[in-house]
Amino acid sequence: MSTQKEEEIFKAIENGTFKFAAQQCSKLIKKYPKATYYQVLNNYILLKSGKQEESLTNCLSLMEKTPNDIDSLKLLHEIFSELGKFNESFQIFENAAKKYPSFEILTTWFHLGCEKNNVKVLQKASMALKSFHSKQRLFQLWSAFTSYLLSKSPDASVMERNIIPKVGLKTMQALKPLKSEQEVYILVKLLQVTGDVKSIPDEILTFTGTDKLDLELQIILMDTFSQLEDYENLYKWSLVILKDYKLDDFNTWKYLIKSSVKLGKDIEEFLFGYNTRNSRLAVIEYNLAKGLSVNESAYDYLKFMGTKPCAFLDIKAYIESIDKASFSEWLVGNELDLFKDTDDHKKLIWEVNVTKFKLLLNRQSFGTTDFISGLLTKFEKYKSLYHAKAKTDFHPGDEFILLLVQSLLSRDFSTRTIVICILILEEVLKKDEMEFHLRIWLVQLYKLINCHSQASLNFAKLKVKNVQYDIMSHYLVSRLATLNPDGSELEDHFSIYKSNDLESVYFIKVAFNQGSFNKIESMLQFHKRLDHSFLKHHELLQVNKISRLLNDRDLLVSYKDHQLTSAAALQSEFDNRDMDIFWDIGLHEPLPELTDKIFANIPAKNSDYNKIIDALEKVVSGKSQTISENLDLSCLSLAERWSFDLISAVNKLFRDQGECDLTEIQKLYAQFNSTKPETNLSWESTHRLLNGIDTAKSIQHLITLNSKASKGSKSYSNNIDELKEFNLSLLNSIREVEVPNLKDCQAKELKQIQHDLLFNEQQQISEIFDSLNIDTLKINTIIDIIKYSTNEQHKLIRLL
Amino acid sequence: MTSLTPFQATDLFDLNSVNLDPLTENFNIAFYFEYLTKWPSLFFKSTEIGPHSTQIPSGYMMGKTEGKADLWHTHITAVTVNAYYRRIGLASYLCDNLEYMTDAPPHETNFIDLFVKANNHLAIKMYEKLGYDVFRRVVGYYGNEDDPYPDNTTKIRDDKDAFDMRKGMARDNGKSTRKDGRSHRCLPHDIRF
Repeated sequence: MSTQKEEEIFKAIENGTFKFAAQQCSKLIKKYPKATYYQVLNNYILLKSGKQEESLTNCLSLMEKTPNDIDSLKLLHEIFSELGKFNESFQIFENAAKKYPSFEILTTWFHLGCEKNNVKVLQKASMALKSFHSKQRLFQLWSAFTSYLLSKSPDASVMERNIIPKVGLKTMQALKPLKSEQEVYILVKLLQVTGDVKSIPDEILTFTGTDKLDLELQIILMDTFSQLEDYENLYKWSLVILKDYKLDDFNTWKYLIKSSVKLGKDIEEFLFGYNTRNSRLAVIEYNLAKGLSVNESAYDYLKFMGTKPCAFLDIKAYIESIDKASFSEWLVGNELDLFKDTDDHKKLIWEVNVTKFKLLLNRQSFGTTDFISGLLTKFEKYKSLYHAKAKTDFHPGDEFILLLVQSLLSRDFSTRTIVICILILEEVLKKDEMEFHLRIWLVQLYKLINCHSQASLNFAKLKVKNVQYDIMSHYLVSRLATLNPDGSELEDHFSIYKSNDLESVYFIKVAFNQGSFNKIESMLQFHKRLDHSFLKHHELLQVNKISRLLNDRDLLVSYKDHQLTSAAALQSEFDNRDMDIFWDIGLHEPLPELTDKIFANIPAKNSDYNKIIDALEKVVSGKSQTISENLDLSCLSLAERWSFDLISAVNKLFRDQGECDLTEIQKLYAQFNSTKPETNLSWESTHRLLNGIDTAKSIQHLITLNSKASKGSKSYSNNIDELKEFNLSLLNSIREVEVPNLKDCQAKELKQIQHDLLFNEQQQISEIFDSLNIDTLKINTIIDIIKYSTNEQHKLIRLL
Repeated sequence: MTSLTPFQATDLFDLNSVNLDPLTENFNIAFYFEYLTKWPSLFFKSTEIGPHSTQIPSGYMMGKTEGKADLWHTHITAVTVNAYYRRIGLASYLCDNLEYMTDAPPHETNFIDLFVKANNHLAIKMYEKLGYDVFRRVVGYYGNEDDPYPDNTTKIRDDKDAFDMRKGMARDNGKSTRKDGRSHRCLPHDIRF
């Protein structure tokens, strides 16, 4: 129902000419008094023009009349959704489906369930579809599968968890004989949630007959045998998979070992007859299961696989079961001899593995002079291999460099050391430009010393795109507003959330239509994890700040469809940021001595950071008057903590009608000076100043908001004037004193570092520089790059 | 300690160690989801045991079935492995399993094929070891916006051309493979099924 008139009305709404829209709509209502749609449209105009309560009251009474034309339902759904009335937004469909069921209403209702990722709606709508079209097998499958999904939903009621899946199970039983693996999948999932695990093997095996098991069903079957402690079948089917299917699968090896030990069956001939990486590791598992020493089997594995990079990771998984003293001795005895007859590339990988094992067994050695010297010697020994590798291959010796960088930083986390590490990484990357671990470390180090443009340049070389934005972009855009307030920089990083709204939702519907049930649960979860992503929320909060800092309303408008609509979104946040990839080298685990320092500019994983910033934004915009006291403020930087205290205090002043004494607030303003970081060449110096400007602008907004709202007393007006003075003086001091000061201090600090490096007196650093051919020219070049990058930051702050 | 498990959408959050590799393509959501929904059993991953007994992906295979009659076949769209798990036969393991799966009902394809850059000698060698032969050279298959679409097959470039490599299943009786494949050429539009 989209006439030219209606289009005109929507255009008027978009342009903000609500009066005209209302006039046009009232003409339509007069002409078609019985058409519900125009009444709903009128309420849409009310909503958009800010008359939310009136719109809600009207829509609730329209709801009672059970509208059933699809356009009215869709628009009512939108209005209720925007008003945060999510139950009502779906209830209108449920009511219509009960009273006037039609294929169009039911499918629209179901598709809205897909769009909003609401399993309750999916279950109800598919039940209704099943009743409406009882002969359509696909709808029966939808209703059965969504009853499983609902039973697993964290907000399902006891009834939904217990009764609904039983109904689903009944539906599946009635559909027998089942026609595909996907149908069997639904059935076994329902058997799992209804507690009838015992029936699962029969159902799978009856369907499969003599055919090969589908991988998904095979895994469920084996898990079920294991859960039921049916060792005879677990043993039998493990052999089928390993022997007949020729699937060398480690989980299956574990099942074979578990069942053979339980049944007292001898599998040694079979196990030792195999000669693969998995079977060698299975020998370790076998010894573990029999309570025997695993050292010999670990050595056998290493003799077989020691020249492969995965060897360290494979054996590390068993390190707690290995006798460490004997292993250390064995490593010393075999370090140089075990693979002496192989080529240099293999020797190198073995030496990398040995170095990592030695470190794992003796963590105290980390960062010692001997350890660093050892790394350097080994790097030197194999560095000629850089020339022998393909451009896209990684040089295994880079791990010596990354361990070296980690060691240097753990010994002394100073700006000078960070610059040394940057020099090292830049040099190695010239020889191995595709090695992404080196690049990620370089990005992070540049960020720490306030070189955003340089970090950005290196981040671009990682060629991050699509879903990777959600799991990688935090290395670049964390706290972007107070480091590099440029809205355009967020465009690419945010694009994945826009794609998610379209592509994920579209394919969730496709998955239902195609009957790809074993993928739907994860697709819904994927959609939710992106929709409620920590980084997405973080970026949206940065948009608010950037828009305020740059007085850029257009930026805010361009993200308005994505703005956080409810506190619930923040409560159910998913932190998808990949911090582990940063540590996917060396010991392959975070180093506690470095973690906090090296990620200082990135809000901690699963922290309350977004909730705190959102709470402040709500106060500043007048949407809320209080800030929850249950937030953990430890994730804030020193500058942000200052900002939080100051805005909270100013907010309290307004809540107290502005009558209180301003001494405390004045003190807080003065404390801005105490938020200076220890070193000037730090991300925190720019962050602090931009945060100061943003705080002043936020308070100015609060003042404007409250000045309009209140007709206070004289003392109130005086307080407001005084507050304006404090604010102005803060802004002036940042612009006129702090920025030029920072520029000077950073230049001096950098000059000192340059001098230290050019006339370095530390022997070990000289050795590193010599080994990597880092000469005066290279030092000066990097210092110039850092100078240029920090100058970019100064230019930016001065513009604000 | 590799195990084989079906690929799930949420695995995309755990693929950095595989997909940050410069030779691995990062597709958009729609591309991955199309494979998940259309060929759910042919998109699978290899996993390793990570910290706290978690299963972390070390590689994955995106496959599909397409074509009609004699050309009904399995296609390897992407196969890739984390750098720490290379040169241990993992890519072969993933290819073998796709072949094994689609050689059986309900797929029962005639042959399996893939495209590989004509200058990727290492990969070509690996596929030849697995029993694949070059069936034809697809001229300009890896061209980009800077390379005009070729109007004939006379000019060849190893960095822009693909080899269409095939391996016949038992039922194919050798119909879909040929020993002199390198001398057969075609254009990208000829390879639509």
